[in-house]
Amino acid sequence: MDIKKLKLIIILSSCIIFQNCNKHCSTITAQKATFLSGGYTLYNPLKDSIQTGDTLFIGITVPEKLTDNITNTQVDFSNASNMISDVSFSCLKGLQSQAGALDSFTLVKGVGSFSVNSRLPNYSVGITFIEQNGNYSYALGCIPQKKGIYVIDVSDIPYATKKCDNATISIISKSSDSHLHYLKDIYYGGGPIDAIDSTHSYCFKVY
Amino acid sequence: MRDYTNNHPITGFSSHLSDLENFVPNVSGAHFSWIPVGLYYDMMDNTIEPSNTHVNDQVSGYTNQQFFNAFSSSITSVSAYKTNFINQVGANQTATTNFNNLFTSYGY
Repeated sequence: MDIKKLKLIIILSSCIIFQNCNKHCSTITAQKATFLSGGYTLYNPLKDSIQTGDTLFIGITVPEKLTDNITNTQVDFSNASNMISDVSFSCLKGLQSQAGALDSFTLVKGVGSFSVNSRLPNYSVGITFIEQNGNYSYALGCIPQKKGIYVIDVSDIPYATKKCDNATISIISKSSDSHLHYLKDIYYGGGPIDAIDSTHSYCFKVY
Repeated sequence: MRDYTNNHPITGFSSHLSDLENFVPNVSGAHFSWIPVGLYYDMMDNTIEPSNTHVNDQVSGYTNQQFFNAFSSSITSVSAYKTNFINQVGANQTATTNFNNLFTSYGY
């Protein structure tokens, strides 16, 4: 092998190695997403009616180790970014009728942070989790200021990102009773409740 | 964009329809929520909109042919498409209000 060929091989190899080492990974891509489950919400106290001025606590936990819904394998999603979800507040008005009710509550920060969702300012706050002790955690206190029948929804995390991987992470209610009869009777007119509503919603009356 | 479904399939729905019906246009942290995924489906379907989407869907019964007919080379925005569609189908005042509410739910 002559010296020119050797130089060429070294230069080409260096280029390939350099390119791979500096491969840019955009966090905003429309590539195929992964669907993970394992996040859950707990409410306290579990009463179907509370008074104005009472406090309802919401605790949301997303373990770092989640289950891939497609492969059914465990995935370590620690050190992820864009761990953002929404907590929305609606007042039930009738058949397929609801109104934003964020202004009916005073919110008290617990763990993590929240800010009003500018795209849905009457309904929801965007929440950001804190990663601690093997989980992403969030806690919020909600103090109702007006009477009514309310639904709280915690949305899935739509676009969690870890390095080049994107994931939708489901967060379902683990409360033993979410008082979904309010949603069924008022919003659905006694008919069946949508699958996401039945797993993500928590209803209660404020008197 | 998605070849499986969202995390929560609806009984009796294909994964594709489940994804359309459960699309939440205004959730925080979603980079692609400006794409009105599910809008056409909401204009076709006659089911109760899931409450968690916060989409005001009182529109139903329109067809793919009508959606297609409302496109032309002069349509360059979602709002222009909405106006053209409303004119094309001859929507009355109530129907127009329902269209406006639906498109507003998607941010347009």
